[in-house]
Amino acid sequence: MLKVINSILVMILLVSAFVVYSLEYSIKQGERDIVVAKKKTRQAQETIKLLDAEWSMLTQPERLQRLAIEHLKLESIKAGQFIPRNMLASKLPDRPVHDPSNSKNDPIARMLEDLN
Amino acid sequence: MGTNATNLNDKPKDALKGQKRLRLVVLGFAMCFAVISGRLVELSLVRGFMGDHRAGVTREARLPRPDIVDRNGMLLATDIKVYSLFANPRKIIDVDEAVELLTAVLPDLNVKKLYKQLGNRKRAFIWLKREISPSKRAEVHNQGIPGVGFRKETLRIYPNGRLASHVLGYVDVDSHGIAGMEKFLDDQGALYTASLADPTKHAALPAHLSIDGRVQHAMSDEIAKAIDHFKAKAGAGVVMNIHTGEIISMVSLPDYNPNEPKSAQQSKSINRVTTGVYELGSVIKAVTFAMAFDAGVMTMNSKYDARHPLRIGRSVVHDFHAEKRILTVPEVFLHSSNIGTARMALDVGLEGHQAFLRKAGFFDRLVAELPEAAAPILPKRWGKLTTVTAAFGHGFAVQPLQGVTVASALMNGGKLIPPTFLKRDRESAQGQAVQLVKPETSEKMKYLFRLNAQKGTARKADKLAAGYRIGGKTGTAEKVIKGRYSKDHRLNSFVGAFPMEDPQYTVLVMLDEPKPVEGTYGYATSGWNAVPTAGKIIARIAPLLGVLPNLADLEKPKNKKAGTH
Repeated sequence: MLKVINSILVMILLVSAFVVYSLEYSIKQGERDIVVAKKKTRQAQETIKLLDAEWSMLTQPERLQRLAIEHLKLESIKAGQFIPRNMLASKLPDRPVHDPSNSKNDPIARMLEDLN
Repeated sequence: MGTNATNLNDKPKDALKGQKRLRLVVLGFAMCFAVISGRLVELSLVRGFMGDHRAGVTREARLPRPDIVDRNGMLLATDIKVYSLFANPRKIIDVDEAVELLTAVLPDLNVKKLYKQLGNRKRAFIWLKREISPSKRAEVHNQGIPGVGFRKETLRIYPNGRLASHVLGYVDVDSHGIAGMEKFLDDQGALYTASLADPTKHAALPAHLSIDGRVQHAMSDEIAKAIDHFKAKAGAGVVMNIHTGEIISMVSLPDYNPNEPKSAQQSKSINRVTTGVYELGSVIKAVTFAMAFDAGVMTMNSKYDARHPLRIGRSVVHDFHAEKRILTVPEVFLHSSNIGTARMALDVGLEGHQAFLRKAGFFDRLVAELPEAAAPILPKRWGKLTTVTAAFGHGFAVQPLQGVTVASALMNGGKLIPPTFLKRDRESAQGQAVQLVKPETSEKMKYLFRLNAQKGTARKADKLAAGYRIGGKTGTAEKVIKGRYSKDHRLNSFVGAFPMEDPQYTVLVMLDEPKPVEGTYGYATSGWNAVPTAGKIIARIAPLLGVLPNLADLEKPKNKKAGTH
């Protein structure tokens, strides 16, 4: 009787030891994962900040103005170019100024072709 | 067991003793285990869930700073991590190889100097290159040169360069705010500043300015052109939201690049809008008008005698464009008559005049957020002559920002709203507002400002910004050079608002010592330089600020021209 109980107890001991150790290992692995993830997050945040800074450096109004003057034939908007919403329908041209089916008439497509 | 059965009765005491002892041992062990398991539960469950954060504190030499963004989220200032390359010459095995590998990735390193540095075995630490890019860092890292390493450093950068530099300020090498909003943030407490920068906190917000980067650039571009064209010494400009007191743009040229703080310390690059005080001249006349209307000593139909110069004691007040006749109230405004304005102030009285200027805040140092704010220069004692000169803006000097704030109050229904460089909503602005003049007075002032743009000295601005219904007052103040007012050194200004039927934005433009140039017929007064500059600025920023042009206004001049031809 005592032997049976003892052997059951030993079995329980072994099983619980195994469970505890495997739990501990998985927790340690989890902690390592957290550390790695935190490091990656921090690196990603730093990269985002760097890219943000680079983006706003590239979109400096002063730089955009310089590039626009250099490459585009556009001018500053004039007051007369605004059309009130209720007059929009009457101001629309009858047909599209640039036929989208014909790429030769599309100024943006032409510009892109020139770049290539 | 059977053999012992007879002994059971012999030694019942011993058996009982043994059992008791066993129980005692079992009890002892049980208590020990209970204590241990109790402690385990406490450590793992209770403390674990409560969270012991002592280990979480990380110490950094530099406190992080928040990003600063404009009202539309455009990045104006940010912290980035950079890597600096260092070497330990004692650990370098092959100097030739190290030099070869390093110069392959970083061609701008000086080869001779590098040989010398790496060959010097006496030293254990030398910087090779500060602030290198992440891609270069990866390349050097992959070369695996022994004795070469990186230190991570935080660098404050201003990706938009000079844009809004006077608002932003700058930081020193230890990342402490030295000027502008950077200093303002530090003055709120370093931990507060750091908490704004922590991306893991929910409350992490970048410092949100009221500045609009696009308007700021347009203004800075136009003022730079004006300085160039009129050969002026300096220029400044402000755009303010008339109902919230938010500064949409503040330009002062020459400016500096906050990425190179040394350039900020030159005296010519001070912020003329808040750090300088100026006699604003005729722009102040509008304040006198509003005071006279509000005190009830003047109506739109009042008349003022400007036939003769005004004599106060031994001093005589002349008009710049002398009309030498009796002027109506709109005429006094349009011709910017010193005599007429002085008479208005005298009608209000010395006490009333001082009380009004004090209520308008001209007697106090105005501090919005920028720490660089100058105190006004006021006359030591206030006599009759002081009132007369103060009526047309001479004899006391204030920050131009104060001028804009009061001008806004004259056109927004009479509410004096403290200016701010941080984003603010209309409700909170109205809560801080002080009623400076009655709403009726504000209506009259709006009429006069608009009239001056249609027929008076601000005509050129109205023409250049046709359709945006601007109104404004010009000022040409002679600067004090060696204790005397100089005829050739002027500070020209324009203060106005648009669209005048329901003003939204106040604009101030100042040019310091513009010269007569081709096309101005020898004139260098405000109407010839500050006013057209303001017109160009408004035509450029109004579409950005969502103010639509009135097309009916645009049609009219065309029809007129057609008729005359």
